[in-house]
Amino acid sequence: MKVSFAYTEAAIVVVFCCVFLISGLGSPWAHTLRHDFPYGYGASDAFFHQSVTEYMKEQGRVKYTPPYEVGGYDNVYDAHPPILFQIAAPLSIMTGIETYDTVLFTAVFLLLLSGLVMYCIIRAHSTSIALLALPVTLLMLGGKSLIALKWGYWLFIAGVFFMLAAFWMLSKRDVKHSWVLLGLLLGATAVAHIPEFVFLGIFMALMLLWEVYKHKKLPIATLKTFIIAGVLAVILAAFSINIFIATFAKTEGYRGVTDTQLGTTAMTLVDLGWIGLICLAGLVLFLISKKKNSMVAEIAVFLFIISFLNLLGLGKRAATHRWFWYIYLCFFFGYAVYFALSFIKKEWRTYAVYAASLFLLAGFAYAVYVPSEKQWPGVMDKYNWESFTWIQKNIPEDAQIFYWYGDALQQGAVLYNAQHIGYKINPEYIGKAIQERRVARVYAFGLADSYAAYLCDATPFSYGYYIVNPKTRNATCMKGSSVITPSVPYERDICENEYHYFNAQSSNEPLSQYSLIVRQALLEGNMSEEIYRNDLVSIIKLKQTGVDCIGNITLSTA
Amino acid sequence: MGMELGIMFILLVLIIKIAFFKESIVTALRLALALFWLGFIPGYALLLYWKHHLGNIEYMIMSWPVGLAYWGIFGYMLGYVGVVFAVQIILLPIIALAIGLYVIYRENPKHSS
Repeated sequence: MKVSFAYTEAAIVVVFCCVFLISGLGSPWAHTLRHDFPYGYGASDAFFHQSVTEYMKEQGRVKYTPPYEVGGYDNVYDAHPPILFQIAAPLSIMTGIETYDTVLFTAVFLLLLSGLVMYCIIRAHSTSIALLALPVTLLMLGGKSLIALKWGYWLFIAGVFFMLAAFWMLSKRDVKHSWVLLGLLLGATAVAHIPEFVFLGIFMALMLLWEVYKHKKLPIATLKTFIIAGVLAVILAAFSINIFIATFAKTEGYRGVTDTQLGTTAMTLVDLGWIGLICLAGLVLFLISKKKNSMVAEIAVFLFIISFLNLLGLGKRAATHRWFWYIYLCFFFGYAVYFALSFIKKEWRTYAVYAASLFLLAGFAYAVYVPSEKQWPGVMDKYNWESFTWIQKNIPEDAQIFYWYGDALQQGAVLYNAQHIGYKINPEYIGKAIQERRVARVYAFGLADSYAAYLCDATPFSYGYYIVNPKTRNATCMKGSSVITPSVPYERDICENEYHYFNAQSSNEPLSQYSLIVRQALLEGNMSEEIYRNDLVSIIKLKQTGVDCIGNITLSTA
Repeated sequence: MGMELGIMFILLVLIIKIAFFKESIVTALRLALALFWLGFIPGYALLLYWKHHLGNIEYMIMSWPVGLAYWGIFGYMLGYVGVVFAVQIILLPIIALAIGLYVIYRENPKHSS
């Protein structure tokens, strides 16, 4: 019986998509698409993207950032790359699924597509190798690579996805009018995440240099394609690049950090384990083979080197690429396995490739699959989520909320979900008060904000910045410096803060116990009332601010 | 062309329904339709001009990044000048489809010069 290669290949790709989606999101989400609150969110960045997506959905477009994330200012340009929000917000509108679900779905979907795009790049070299390499990309859903999803590196995922697509187009650059698609994909990379756009530029420059070296003359056709595509990309991404230049390029720019900035979550070669050894074997076999001029190998090696550019001061902008090693290096894995299969008789080899691909798919799926009941639900819980929803509807828009210690509440961006300006307690001040065995009135509270520059329209034709945070009555958008200075003291008297938010439990017992003692002191001071309560959360409102608000309570009497 | 699109849509619904089997078929259908309309259709239409240079599987896969790039860039541009999602959702895929249909029209031997 003759099996059509194309149909079998398509079937394996479809099975791969199913397995990827089941392991990446189906199981973590208990095989449902709708949830009562953000599910599977592991860190502040994830909540940040979710809250921005929600605001963009409400606004009906991607342009300005939520006022409660920038000290209360309206019409501050969102400095972050827009494409993730531009995809996730309309998905929510069209499906009726909440933005906190569609934005995570979008990230997983883009990760899945990244693997498939790499599959297409490898396919240009060999379909068999591509089929053997594809299952390795499943490993993006386990180990340290999973951090990219769980911690909310979703803009980065979007950037890598479009960067890989642009690499694919570079491998097709000889096709007629390729500059149109190359320009579109380069532009999308810039709108998705600027560092990947820069890396693409470096790769294209190296390609040109290599061609000059190889042919001893300037490759005019390639140069022309690159220049036209580059100009098109810059035109298409002009709005986004303009905002980037006025914000992150100013406040961040070149990092000058040789550390990975990822601590123990940074991947090392050891983390690749035996997969790494097979990739290494594949690289060696490739180098000693006759067919060495393969674009896919150049791309893989380039991206591998990029992931070490933290050594040149790019910090985590380079080091995060290590999480993608399973996608970048899967070609060499496939190459090594195919080499092993090449000892099988030619008439059986195609079937051996199918079987090996499915076997690897099953094996890697087993390695990364975690049943729903063993999945970590993330840092959000239904009680805090209900409270945030209640605040959105019941507390005046311009009110500020002061958050006492709680596990979820320590992630600054979580607080954006209350859609009010929020301050979170500095736990060190609680520790100090516990040591001194007293209920203090003054604590340090940090403003929950995510932007280093508040870009606004100074005139209809020029940008400016708001430079005090949070907003003051006479704050105006001014040209000049983007440096933000606080307009309120870091240390605050709790009797001057109108709304206090408490969690009854946390993993840090002393901190949450102390927070509850403060709550009790506020209530016993007779100047406050509890305006909201559920099994975990209590919200206290001061009837009058600026007067002595805490009762006569000490740690020993509490 | 119609068959390819139909197969792709059915596969998308199937994949989503298998991964999220506890979800209702209506939600799975709506999600598949939204992804298909915003991400796949524009890419499929815009890639028609280069279809002869791509294999079927490659064409189906690469329609996604091209479509999402188109949606992301032009949707953001329109939003920037005040056009809301409700309009973008209708307008952008239809424009991409029109471009695709024009390519088919031009490639028809009757109309090509």
